[in-house]
Amino acid sequence: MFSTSKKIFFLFFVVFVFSSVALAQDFSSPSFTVTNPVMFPGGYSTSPSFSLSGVMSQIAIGTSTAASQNLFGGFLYFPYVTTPTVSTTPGDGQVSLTWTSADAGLGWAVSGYTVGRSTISGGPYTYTNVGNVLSNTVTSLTNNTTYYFVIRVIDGLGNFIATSTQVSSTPVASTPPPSGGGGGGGGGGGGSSDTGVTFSGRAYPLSRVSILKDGQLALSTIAGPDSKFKASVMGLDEADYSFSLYSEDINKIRSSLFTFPVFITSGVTTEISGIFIAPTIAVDKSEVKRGDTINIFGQSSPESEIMININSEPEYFVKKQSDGDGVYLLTFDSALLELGKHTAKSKASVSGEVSSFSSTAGFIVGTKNVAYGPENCPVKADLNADCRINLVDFSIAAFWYRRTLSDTFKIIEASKLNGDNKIDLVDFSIMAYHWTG
Amino acid sequence: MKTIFSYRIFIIFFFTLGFYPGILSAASVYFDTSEKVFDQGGTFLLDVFVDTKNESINAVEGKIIFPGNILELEGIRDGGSVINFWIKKPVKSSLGGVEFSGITPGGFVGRNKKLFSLVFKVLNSGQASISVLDGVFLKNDGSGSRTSTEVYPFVLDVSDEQSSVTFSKLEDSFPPEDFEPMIGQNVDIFDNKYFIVFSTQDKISGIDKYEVKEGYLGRYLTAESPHLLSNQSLNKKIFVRAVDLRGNTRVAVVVPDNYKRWYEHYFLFGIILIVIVAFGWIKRSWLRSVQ
Repeated sequence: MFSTSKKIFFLFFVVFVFSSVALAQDFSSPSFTVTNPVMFPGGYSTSPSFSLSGVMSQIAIGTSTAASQNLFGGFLYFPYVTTPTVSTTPGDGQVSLTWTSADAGLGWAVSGYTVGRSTISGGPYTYTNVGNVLSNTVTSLTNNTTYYFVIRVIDGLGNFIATSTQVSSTPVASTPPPSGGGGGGGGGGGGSSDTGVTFSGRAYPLSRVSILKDGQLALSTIAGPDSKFKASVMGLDEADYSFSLYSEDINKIRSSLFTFPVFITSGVTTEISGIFIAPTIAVDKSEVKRGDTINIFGQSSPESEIMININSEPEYFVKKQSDGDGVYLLTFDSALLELGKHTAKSKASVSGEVSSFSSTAGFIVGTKNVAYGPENCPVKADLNADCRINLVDFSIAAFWYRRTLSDTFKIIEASKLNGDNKIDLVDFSIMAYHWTG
Repeated sequence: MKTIFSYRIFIIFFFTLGFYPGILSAASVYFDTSEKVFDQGGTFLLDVFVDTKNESINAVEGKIIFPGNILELEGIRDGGSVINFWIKKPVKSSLGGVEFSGITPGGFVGRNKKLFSLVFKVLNSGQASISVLDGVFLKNDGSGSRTSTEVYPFVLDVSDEQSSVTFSKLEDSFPPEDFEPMIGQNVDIFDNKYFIVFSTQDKISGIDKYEVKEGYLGRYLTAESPHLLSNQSLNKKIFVRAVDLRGNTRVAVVVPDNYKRWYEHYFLFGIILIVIVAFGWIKRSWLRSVQ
């Protein structure tokens, strides 16, 4: 009735579509390993004070919660999700909200967001599911009334897995744009003094926070002893802007860039709250003799929980607590790691806020110990060795773009870029990643 | 045989999509215009967009291609682009396409991220496809990893009708964004001589050109960054003028380290003092001779 080819086709089709792929994966931590784990499909149970999420495979990890405790299921992996950073732009009877995408992993997956709103600081909030989007305009609001908003992140089961910090905004009746003013020609100008953006969030205690506007340094500020900062960039025009923030810790190690696109509305100050700059990270040895310890350290917000991920095969996840200055230290036994190259990265959480991952610190597990030199300047992309990666470095690279490199510049390209003896888009991408403005 | 071949393609398709989900989440490039009808003689604006599919992208390059017998490129606008620094600003190449490459420090994520806009004039009837060739999108991951790319060409059918409709010129009365040029010196370029670098954006029409003037009495000359300075003594102010496509300008002034303000020219003060003393002495001598 059916030809052999058709049978083969349908066999492939049925197997592919109606079966799940089973991936064997071992789970380990510095103190134990679970080999070939098996978990049975579970249900989802709730009561007024307790909920239990089941799991469908060893990859998925459920979270059980109650008012006084959290129970993390799975094999002692730490599921994570970053909290969104939220911007508010007030309008006439409305507030426009945009937020950064929540990054989840190790058992959690983001499926959407809800917008919570209240006229009372701290809630209770009225939630609206807006789907898997990164912006929403809340309408039918009363002008001159302050509203408070939070963004909640939803997983595939509809559970809330993260909540942003609360932001507030006061809608105002629109005013006609100022008439006259000429326009055109001439320098000077710029936007009005009340058009701009205000940033607030966490960095490191007493650290310098730099804010870049479209890749160029707009201003710097100093965070307080509690690591919190607030700064404004005003005088902007109505347009799309890309703002990036970074901070430097007590060892002058720079954080990864936190970038946020914003549409600035004329006559309005947009608020971006809940920024949590990722921790810094460094290692004390560029090569560690297998069996010896390596120190992995950095700085974040004071008294925050630091999750350090050592990217190896298998991966290791370790939690540490930062001290009152935000400094954390992990002394890690390299005997657990294979010989070869490894990287470490970290993220921080405090008061329900979770940062994104830091940049990575690389090291080698080998046969000898090699101390890491003091690296106050960025290793990568700083072509003119002025400890900054900015338009000057970009221009030097642009000068050599698709040209044959000189012998002296070949050495710089090898040490500061990707070492392929040419300047192309990959080198510029590396530069954009390490940019300081 | 043909049927079996189709099944094989189907199976390969399923396996490819199933085991390499990255292909499903490839960054996509697409076009959009407000025009619905394309008649001969008319012009239209076409925006070039990127959807990063939740991937952070920090570097892009590619080449826009279109049939030159049907469409003529009248202009390129990079106003409001998601790209902060152009390595190769989108310009019409000698072979007819539009090459571009640029970066955004920190990367960008999301849909409808505009790269630039193209203004086309419709020359002849027929079907035209506008697409991207050799599109490269690199992740903001510190190593420049390439992300897969999907291109959705823009296909338009040009009727035999004649049109006098032209795309209205964009209103732009705002100057380019404020910017801070920097003086640099590096052994690897310009024989270690001083140069100046500059870049800014114009949020509406886009940057047309830059001009550099050295000293108050100098003349503005069109320049590209990096620009070799003619005054290597660095004792004159440097003026960099950014001009947008509507002629609005923004001037940034750089004061070099060796620049001296008028009151710091002690030699000048010395001459003035000598002149005053000499004038006084001559006047005194003249008065004595008169008396």
